[in-house]
Amino acid sequence: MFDELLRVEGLSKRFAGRRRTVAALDDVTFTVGKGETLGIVGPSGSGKSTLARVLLRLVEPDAGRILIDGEDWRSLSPKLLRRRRGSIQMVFQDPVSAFNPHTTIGKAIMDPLRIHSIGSRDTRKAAIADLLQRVGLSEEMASRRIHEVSGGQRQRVALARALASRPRLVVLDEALSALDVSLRGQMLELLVRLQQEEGISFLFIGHDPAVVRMISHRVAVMNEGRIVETGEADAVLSAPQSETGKALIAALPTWR
Amino acid sequence: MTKVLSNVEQLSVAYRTPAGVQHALKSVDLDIFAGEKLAIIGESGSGKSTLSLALTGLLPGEAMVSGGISWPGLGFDPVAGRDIGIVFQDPGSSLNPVLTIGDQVGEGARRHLGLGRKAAREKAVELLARVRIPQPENAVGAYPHQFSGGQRQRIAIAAAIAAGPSVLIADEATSALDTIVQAEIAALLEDLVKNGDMTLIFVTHDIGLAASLADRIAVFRTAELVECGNAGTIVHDPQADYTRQLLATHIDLHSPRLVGASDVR
Repeated sequence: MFDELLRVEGLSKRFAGRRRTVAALDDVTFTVGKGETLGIVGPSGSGKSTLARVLLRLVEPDAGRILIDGEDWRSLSPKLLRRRRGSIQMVFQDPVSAFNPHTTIGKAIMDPLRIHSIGSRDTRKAAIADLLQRVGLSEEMASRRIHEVSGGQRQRVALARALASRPRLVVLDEALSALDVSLRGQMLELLVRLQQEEGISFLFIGHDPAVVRMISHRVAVMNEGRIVETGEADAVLSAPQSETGKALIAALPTWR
Repeated sequence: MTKVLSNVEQLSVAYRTPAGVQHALKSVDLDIFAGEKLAIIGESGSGKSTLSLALTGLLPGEAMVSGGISWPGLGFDPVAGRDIGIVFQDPGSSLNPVLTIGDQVGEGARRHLGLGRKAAREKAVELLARVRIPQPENAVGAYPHQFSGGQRQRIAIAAAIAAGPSVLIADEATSALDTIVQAEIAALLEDLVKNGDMTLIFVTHDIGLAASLADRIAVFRTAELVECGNAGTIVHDPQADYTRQLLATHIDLHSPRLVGASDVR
């Protein structure tokens, strides 16, 4: 049983093009518990990434409510929103484009600490070392730049930066999709350990249902902006009821 | 399927880097059979893409190459685009955004088959139909951005097979696509080579996809060929520890979950 952390109700977002309007999110409703992982699966264009962006308020929805711990996320004053932003963080698919190439990893992790006034100037160096250590990296990583470290290490750095502002919820948007299989397994284990130790909630967005199933307690299947099916991860993915769910599972290579 | 199309013999490819000479391929021996579906699998840095560039003759000038590739099945050295078609991961960057689909798909036919503009356009329509682009007569006049990622990859495949190559190399051609589109592209590739007059070399990091598609699998790791054999043998009775490790880390719907179902409300 999880206590509720995030409640999303009737979220809608349309993008108007010259010839047609696309419903990227169409009346999306779901909850995520404290310490729970909700997996989101769906084909390209199903609205998964728009959902992530709306939750972070990088994109304004047309309608709907986002409640975090009962607080209405959309009606926060700009000042309060700035203060709360640290509680939802995101890890993107491509860490190279998510980091300033000129700055060191230590400075990149320092930014959220400074912006959210976490610690003092004297304690931040230790905080950076601690964050790096929590994601399985050594503290000397702080003096390097993002392109100087390996692909697997980069995504750990992105996670360390996301954790810096002490988020309640981390949105992982295809965050493991570009990693080699062995690194992907290690990242999944790291995420589960962090969740168990610190009670963080994850919204884990992925196109591969097999990977999403590994880490998610519950799964929501999206298609054309709507959640078409939701339930316990294994139940949904072993016997999907929706057409989209069935198509996603049928498309997996069969060979064992 | 015993006719050898190509012999890769003691092929090594290395680059000079600030950190010293780095091998991208080290003493690789591999036979490629005419008409087979061969999967080349490995993780980042395994050398799998270097091998596809070496086969195509597209290695950069600064590459230091020893050993060689011979083509007894052809009897001559292949010309990229005519005898070998190649499809890369990102169709967005391999298609020219300011040329029509028809021009790009027909280019191979004009250049290598000597077709005129009109004949090349007809050929392009035929090729687009073959890769199942809807309304190919209209598609020839459209531009890459007007198509989805999966359709762009189909168009790139049409361009790659325009001159009727003996070999089609798909280098992570399905990796950027969602699983549904990936399965469609894999089925298309299988369909294109099913009558056996084209050899498919399928480069991927996904051992599951390789096993479901290929006749044989060659496993690469840090510039070396680890093992090569029938797809069934590689996945059910692998000889190398590394292949066993790849299989063990492969995630499918039967992999043990990391979170308990009992936690769920």
